[in-house]
This record gives sequence, structure tokens and C-alpha cells, in this order.
Amino acid sequence: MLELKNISKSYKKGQKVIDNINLDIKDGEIFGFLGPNGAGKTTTIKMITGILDIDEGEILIDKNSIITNPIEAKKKIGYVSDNPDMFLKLKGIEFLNFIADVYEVPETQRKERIEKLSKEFDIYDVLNDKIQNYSHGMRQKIIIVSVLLHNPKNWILDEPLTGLDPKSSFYLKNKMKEHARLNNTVFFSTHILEIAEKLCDRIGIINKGKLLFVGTIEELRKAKKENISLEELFMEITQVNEENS
Amino acid sequence: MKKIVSLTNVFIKEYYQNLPIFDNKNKKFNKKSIFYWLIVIIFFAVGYVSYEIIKFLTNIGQSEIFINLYLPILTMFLAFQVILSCANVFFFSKDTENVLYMPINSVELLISKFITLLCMLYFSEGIIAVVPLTLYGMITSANFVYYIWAIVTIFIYPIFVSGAISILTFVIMKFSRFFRNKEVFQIFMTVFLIFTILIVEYIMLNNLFNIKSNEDAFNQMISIQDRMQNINRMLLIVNPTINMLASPEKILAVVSFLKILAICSIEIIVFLLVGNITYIKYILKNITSIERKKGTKKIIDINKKVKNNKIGIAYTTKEFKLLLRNPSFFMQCVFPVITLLISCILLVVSVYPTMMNVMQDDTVKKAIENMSFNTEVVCDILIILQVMYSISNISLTAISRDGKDATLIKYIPVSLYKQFLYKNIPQFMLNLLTTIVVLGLIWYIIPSIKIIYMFIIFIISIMINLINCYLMLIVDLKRPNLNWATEEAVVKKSDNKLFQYVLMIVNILLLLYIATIFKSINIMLAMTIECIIYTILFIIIDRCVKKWQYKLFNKIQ
Repeated sequence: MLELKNISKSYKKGQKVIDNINLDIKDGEIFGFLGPNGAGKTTTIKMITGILDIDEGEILIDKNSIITNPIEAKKKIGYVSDNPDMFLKLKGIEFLNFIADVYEVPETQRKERIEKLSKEFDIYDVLNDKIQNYSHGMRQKIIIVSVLLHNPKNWILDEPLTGLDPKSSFYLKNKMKEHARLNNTVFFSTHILEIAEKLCDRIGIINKGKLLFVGTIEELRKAKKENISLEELFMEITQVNEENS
Repeated sequence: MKKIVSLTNVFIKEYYQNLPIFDNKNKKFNKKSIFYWLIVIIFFAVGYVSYEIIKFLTNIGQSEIFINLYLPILTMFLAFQVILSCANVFFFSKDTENVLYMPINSVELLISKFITLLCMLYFSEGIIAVVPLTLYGMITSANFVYYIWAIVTIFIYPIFVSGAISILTFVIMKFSRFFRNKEVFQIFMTVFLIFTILIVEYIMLNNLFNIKSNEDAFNQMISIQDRMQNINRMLLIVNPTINMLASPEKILAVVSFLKILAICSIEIIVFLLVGNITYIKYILKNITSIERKKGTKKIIDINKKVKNNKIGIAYTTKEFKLLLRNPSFFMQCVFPVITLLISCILLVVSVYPTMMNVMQDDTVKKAIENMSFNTEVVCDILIILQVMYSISNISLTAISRDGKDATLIKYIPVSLYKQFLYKNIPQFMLNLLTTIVVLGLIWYIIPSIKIIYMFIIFIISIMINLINCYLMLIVDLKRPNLNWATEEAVVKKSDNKLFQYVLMIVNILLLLYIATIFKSINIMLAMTIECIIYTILFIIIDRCVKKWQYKLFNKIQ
């Protein structure tokens, strides 16, 4: 469960990049975070994961504050960043082992999961190669496997499907659904509105640091009183916001 | 021809713009860069040393020895530079891929790359060759013909060196798949260079300390000159160049010049022929496979490869792997210290006994053996250690080396303070090795030192080591260089090294002050106080790090 309470952030004084965001993502929910480039999606995600400080407000992860109880909060998160080029000099298996050590995954469990997940994502055969020899998609896959490896309750994924081949994309989407079905939380950002439409229980639309809408797609359609596609709704909401600002 | 000029222009600009001595914004010299000042220092140091040597040799009527010694050294220097740059220029540089789709033929590409390589060497010659050769002309009162030959030498030398090594590299690259991986190639070259430097150093030092009297010294010089000429014969153009510079007005100079011209022309023809066959047909065709090693599909045994480790061990192991597996980081952070330590061991173990045998006077021997061990000596040893700790950049780049991966520090469930400690372990270990080697060598030279003194020096050095590691990591945390495109930029595009020098100077001054004020008190007491001072300093820094850990890491985003 993720709770964002009155979150604000500014890099320069007086210029808020995140402006008073309130958000509750309940257990068993897949939440899609949408917004144009530079809207504040990654900044929000970085605040949730503890990478960025929060200027105002509070973030709770399963009731643990990321500010006052960061270690416990971080144990409950699995984060896939938008940059898959990580630890290129390590072999795939070494990277997974390192993550398993950091998150204290028991040996028998980690062996089972590494084997199962890497086979599912088609990277089992290259685990003994350095990550630098992987393609972009394979790098993305090893990061995803490393997150699933410690089976965190809350998945926070920044553009997780970018660069994945159709098979892995299918697996990941199924994993997300399965994870939510087991009463866990999935929070992910995406540019692909179709995925959000098909996968998410609720969506949030952010632009210029302000959360413009939170709810189901049906609620969005009802609010706009129009039976149009999510893409058109998205354009309408963000354009109105641009004009108002 | 136009294509060659344009292509060369692009390659050269790419190379010079990446040099840390230039400011990327206005393309002028970056006077804030430490490398700019390093080059200035080298420029003047080479000039000064050359001046002193030439003056001395001219006074004893042996000025030609300078040319005999200097040209092979220049050849070696240029050769090392070509070995390190050649593969990068021809095979691993990213700009090659960017021009491959253009209508450029193989010879045009080869010539452009070759000229780029030459320009790198001309730049180096500007720093280390122009002044010595000019000074030689001035001190020996040579006429203008000498200067013409000197310009010819500066122009033609890099052609010979780069041509020869490029041909060799093409052949190696063609026949060995092993070297087609940039990292394997760089590691091999690094090891090769270390051994070559050490062997040359060993031979030179042994020669130097074989001199037993003034008469021997004179004979030694003549014999060195003979030996050098024999070695120079193998380098083909060295002896003709010596003839050109040593007897500029004689017909021998013209004959030598024609000889050099012939050698270089043949070499360039061979270079183009070999390059056409190997470089273009075999290497460029597989350019993508050079960077991306084909997966060998070794099926892994999960049971063997997956092991449980404590967080501290896992984190530290990761730090070591990332440091040692990256040739660039290894070269910038570990290599200089290892080379220095091996050189010190060689110097002391091989030369020191010879030196002691040479010393006829037993009083010097006895003076060293029975040296009174006072606070000044302790501080001197600690100063040596402090200087050596300042060579390595491991802690100074511990965060910057991670680049964009550094965000992991913030989202994994490990306290920032603990990560601070783990990140310091590689630097601490290397400094510890330095301490052990230096103290071991001191004990070898002065075996009469009491073990208790060595033990206390060891403890103080650990405190100084920790303070160095902590402060340098703090510097990197406050001024990280995370958005680098190439690994070389981690050190080259950062001015953090200045802080290391400042710390070194401050600590040296502190040690000198301690040596002065504790001069008259009992050495044990002085050392204990010194130990307490550094321990308190360390505890204060450690408490500060623990207290402000979140603020310290806030540049990582």
C-alpha cells in the first residue's frame, strides 16, 4: 500500500516540479501513472523510492515512512528504473546474487526464483555473461528479474515495458496482474496509453507537477461525459492544463 | 584528398575536444583543469632536466651522449603512447561507426585515422621534445642546419613509431579474436607496459649504481653510449636520426635523412597494404562484434553460482569487481599505486644492497643501521605514507564511478552510513597494502627498529588512512561526476583531485608541526599523543558522517 500525502518538490526556489500530490494506492491494485514528458512522473517515483528528498508532505509504504523509517520502507519496494544500463561490468548472475544478498533472500529461495524467472524472461542462458554484452531489452529483463527476485509487496516500475520484446512484455503484464491478485500493489508509469487502459485498475494523470485526475478510466469518461478513447481524454486533460497555466 | 582532410578534421576535433585540458564551451585551455597544470609542470620539468644534463655533458665534452640517450627514450615514450592509443583510434573509437555508411574508401579512412594518431603524438612532442632539442642546439651552439634536422626529426619520428605499431596491431587484431575485445586488449597492454617499464627501470638502475669511482663513471658513460647504439640499431631510425642531429653539417646527415625517408616510405606502403587487407576487410566488417562479445551460451549451474553472503561482503565484493574489471578505472585508481609499490620494492631490494657495497665508508652503513629513531623519523615515515595515499583515486571516485547506477545507493534497504563504509573498503585495503610494503621496506633498510615503534606507526597510519578515505569520499559525495559518457571522464573531467592534494599538504604540515613540537619529549609519549590526535580526528569525522549521512548523499538523484 502506498500513501502520498501533500507531496511537493522543487529544484529551484519557488518553482514546484511536484505540487501537493495526494495519492492512495491500495493493496491489490494496479495503478498507472500517466503524463507527458517532463510532467513529474519520474520525480514522483524517485521520491517514493527514496532517491529524491521530499520538500513537503509524507510518503508511507505499508505504513512505513520513507523519511523516518527508510530501511523498512525500502524493503517493501521493488523498483525498476527507466535506465536499464546498470552494473554493466557484473555478470547477470552476479548482479542477481548481489540484489538477493542486499534484500536477504534465503539461498534456496533465490536459487529457485533465479532459475524460474530467468527462464520465463528468456535470459537463463546469458546469466553467465557480463551485462554489458546484453541488448537493451535483455538489460531491462535482468533488472525486472532482480526486482521480482526478492518478491516485494510493492512494485514501482518506471516505464517497465519499454524495450521489451512481445513475449517478455506479455510475461511482465501477467506478472503484474498476478502480483495484484495476491493483494499486492503495482505502481507504474507509462507512455503507452493502451497498456494503461487494459492493465490498470486506476490511473493518475499528472502534468506540470499537478495531479489532474485519479480514478478508473470509466470514471474519467463519466467525468468528461464523452465516450472517447483514453488517448483523446488524455490529450484533452493535459491541453486544458497547459492552457490554464 | 578533400574527403581525407574533412574526415581527419572530424576525427582530430573529436579527439582534442575530449582532452581534459580544453574547455568544452569555449575551446580554449581550461586553466581550472588539473591536467592543464600537470602538462605545464611536465613541460618545464623536462626542459629543466634536459638543460642540466646537456650542460653537464657539454662541460665534459660528451654532449652527443644526450642525443644518444634522449632519442631512444623519446621513441619508447611515443611507442607507449601509440600502443595505448592505436587500437582505440583504429578499432574501438565510436566515430568509426559513424562514418562507415558514408562513401569513403578504405585508404581514405586509413590515412585519416593515421593522421589522427600522428596528431596525438605531435601534441606529446610539443610537451616533451621541442624544448630539449632546442636547448641542445642552443647549448652546443649548433647552426641553423641543426634546427632544420630537429624539425624533420619531430615531424618524422611519430610517422615511424605509429606506422610500425599500427602494422603490428593490425596483424594481432586479424589473427587473434582474443584481442578484439577492447577490455581484454587494454588489460593485456597494461600488464605488458608495467613489465616493460619495470624491466627498463631495473636495468637502468643497476647500470647507474654499478659506478664505483669517478674513473668508472667515465668508462661507464662510454659503455652506456656503446650499448645504447647497439640497442638503437634495432629501432632502425634512431641511429640515422642521431647522425642527423649530431653531425648536422656533414654529408652523413643528408644520407641519414634519405635513409629515414626510405624507411618511412616503405613503412607507409606496408601500412596501407596491410591495413587494406586486414583493417577494412576483416575488422570493419565485424565492427559490432568487437564491442559486443557473442554469447558463448555457457549454461550456468545455479547451485554453484548462487551463494548467500552478508550484505557487507556482497557490497564490498561488488565494489571490487566493478573497480578491477573496468580497465579504465583500474588504470586510473589502482595501477599507479601498484606500479609505485613494485618500483619501490625493486629499488630497495635490488639497488640498496649494491649501494651499501659501493659505500666504502662503514660509518654511513652504521649510521643507517643505528639511526636514532625519534619523532622526526616517525613523522617522515608518515609523510611518505600520506603522499602515497594521495596517489590513488578509489575513494575520490567511489560515487562518480557508479555514474547513473549511483541511484541504487538510495533505494536499496541498506543504511547510507553503512554504504559509506563499504564504499571506502577498497581504498582502505590498497592503502593498507601500501603501509605494509613501506613499513616492510623500512624494516629491511633499518632492521634495528623496535617492533613496538613499527606497531604504533602502523596504528597511526591506519588512522591517517581512514581519514584520507573518509574525506575523499565526502569530496566525491559533495561534487560527484555522475553524468559521464566515457569512463575516462570520471577522473579527467573532475577537479576533485585538488582536494586530495590540499588534504595531503595540510596533513604534511600537521605532521611537520607535530615533529617540531614533540621533538624534545620521549618518542613513545610523542607517538601515543600523535595516535590520540589522529584517532580523535577520525572519530569526529565519523560522527559527522553518521549524523549528516542524508545530507551527504543528497547529490545522488
